Amino acid sequence: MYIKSVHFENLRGFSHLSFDFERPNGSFAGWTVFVGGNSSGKSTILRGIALALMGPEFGGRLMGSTAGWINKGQSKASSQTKLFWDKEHDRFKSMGKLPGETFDAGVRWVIEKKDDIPQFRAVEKRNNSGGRIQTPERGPWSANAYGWFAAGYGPMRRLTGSSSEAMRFSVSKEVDSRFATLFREDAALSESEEWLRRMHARRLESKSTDFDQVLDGVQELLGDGLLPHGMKISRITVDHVFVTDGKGVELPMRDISDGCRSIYATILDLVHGLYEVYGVEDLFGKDKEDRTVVLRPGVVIIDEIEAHLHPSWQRDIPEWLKRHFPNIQFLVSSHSPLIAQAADENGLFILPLQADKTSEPRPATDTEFQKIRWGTAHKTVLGVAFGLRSTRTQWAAQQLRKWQELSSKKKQGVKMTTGESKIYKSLHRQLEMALDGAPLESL
Amino acid sequence: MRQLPKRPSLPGATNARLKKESQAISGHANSKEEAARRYSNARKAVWFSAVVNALKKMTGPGQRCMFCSGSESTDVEHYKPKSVFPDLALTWENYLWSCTPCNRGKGNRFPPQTEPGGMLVNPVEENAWDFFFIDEFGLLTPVWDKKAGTPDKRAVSTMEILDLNREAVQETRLFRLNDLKRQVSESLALFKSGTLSRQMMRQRLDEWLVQPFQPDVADYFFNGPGREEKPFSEFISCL
Repeated sequence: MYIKSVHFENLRGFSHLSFDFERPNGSFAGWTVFVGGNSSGKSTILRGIALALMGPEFGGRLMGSTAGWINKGQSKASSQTKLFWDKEHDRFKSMGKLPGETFDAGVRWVIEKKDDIPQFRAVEKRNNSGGRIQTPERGPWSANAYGWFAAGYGPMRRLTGSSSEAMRFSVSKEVDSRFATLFREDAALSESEEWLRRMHARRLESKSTDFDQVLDGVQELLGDGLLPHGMKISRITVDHVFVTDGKGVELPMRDISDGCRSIYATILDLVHGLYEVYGVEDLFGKDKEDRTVVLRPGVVIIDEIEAHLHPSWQRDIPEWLKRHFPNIQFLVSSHSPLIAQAADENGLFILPLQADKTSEPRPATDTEFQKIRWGTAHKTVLGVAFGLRSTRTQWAAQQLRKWQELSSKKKQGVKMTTGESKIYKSLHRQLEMALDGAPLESL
Repeated sequence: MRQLPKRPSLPGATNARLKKESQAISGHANSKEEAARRYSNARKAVWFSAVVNALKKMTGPGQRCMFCSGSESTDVEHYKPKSVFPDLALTWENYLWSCTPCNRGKGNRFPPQTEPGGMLVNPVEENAWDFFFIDEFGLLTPVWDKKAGTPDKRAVSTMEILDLNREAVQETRLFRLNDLKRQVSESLALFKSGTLSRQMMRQRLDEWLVQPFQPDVADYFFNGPGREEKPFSEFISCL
């Protein structure tokens, strides 16, 4: 399953929003990024899409309160998606007419009585004779229809420390377990490591090679240049998953750095989710370069994927994910130019700042996209997608203004005081060092 | 900012049309709305292309913004915003050509007219180098006003409103300045050793002046007060 398009009406800060995610060659997999400032609505987009994918029952459970989802002064809101599906990976629960290439799945919020909190429902579609079309109910929203993989991750992706309330979601095998961290900051991804250790225990007991396939697959996948400094999973025991670093030091996964853990937890959870949905068959495969990759399709949403990551990792992680999950449609939000630069075609969407009342959320133009794709982080930050006027601190900007004032005085031949003269010389010396306009390689 | 050619006169038919539109606006009860409507229609109309072409011609090669000289400019700019001066929405003398970042920075702001022309320097009607100089770090800097004992007020407000030293522009300016310094020094050395003729030096200068790459720098150092500075002064004395 992939998301072909999304359409919001009155959803939180958005009065209207329509994005089409199809790439120029008709495909959907790859990297799609939403950029925009704080409170520009990035999380709303991701959560709105997630709720349409989960449907009113599972979505409603995770969302908690329905308050606050409707744009101020309105009485209803909706998030509607057009889903692209394929027979091989996605099945409908009951017999009946199959939809065409795409079908609609949407949820809505509606205030029925004044001062009531909104009701959360499916967007209903009816056929010509007035009967309800329940396509999503038989497919993605069904608890036991095969396929329809989708998962979502919030910015707090931890391996441990789930609150007991959030645990409820993480241990369920239903679709809401795969979106728990997107909606709840107190949810952790501990279940997946548990799963890995359980698989290990079962391998010891069983003769089936399924467990070998899963465990070897995971080990190869996570060992293929994901973790920095040549870190690899060295062994999985009933108690711990161990990694060794480049120097051969072994330690439990949960003791490695925050950034490593957050990425490891996310990817492990992804594999775990795909396994729960599709089973081990055709889960792993090899690409042209003989790397172990995950072949199954689906939708993966990640909010602020750069959290805890060093810039070099921010630059590399999108490509790693695209290479190792070649059939997944990644929808991510980011504040990082390095993450945005990895966007695939028709994969960059710009949300205006909340203060900017005149601009609408929109896809980047082709020129903007090409500039970012080929660009450097510095230029991308100054460009239209991020819209910074300056990457300098206010302190530096003030020093520059002071310098301008004194240099202007000097140029006019106006006598400076001893103090001014001193500051002039000191600033000149510092600026010569800092703003020499030299090419970047001299950094 | 840079020195720009004088505003040319428009074809008679275009002038007549602009006049007619302006009259319709000032005769209207809600002139602000009428100005917005008429301007938006005009901007799409065929007859208005004479205005656009005249502005582009004034702007020169690469159509660098009349304000920052940095980015390629894309649109007609009303020196006095049409929302505040609806009568001037379709007036040739009120038109400039600017880039999106400058346009957005300026918006509807037009500071109180405590002095003729307001606090915003008009790059067509006024000489940029009466207000600014370019320093060795690529900063477009307001000149010192000896009488007031402060930097020139209109220059300062122009610089602030348009953010004329925003990082992208300042960096390009510095890059162009260093590039020109290098080329000028190189040419001087070749000229002194007899490899480069005076004629070839002049040719080089002509090329530098039309390069659509932060043209304010070339203008300042070859046609403005910057020609007194080394190595530009030396280069010019050889021509």
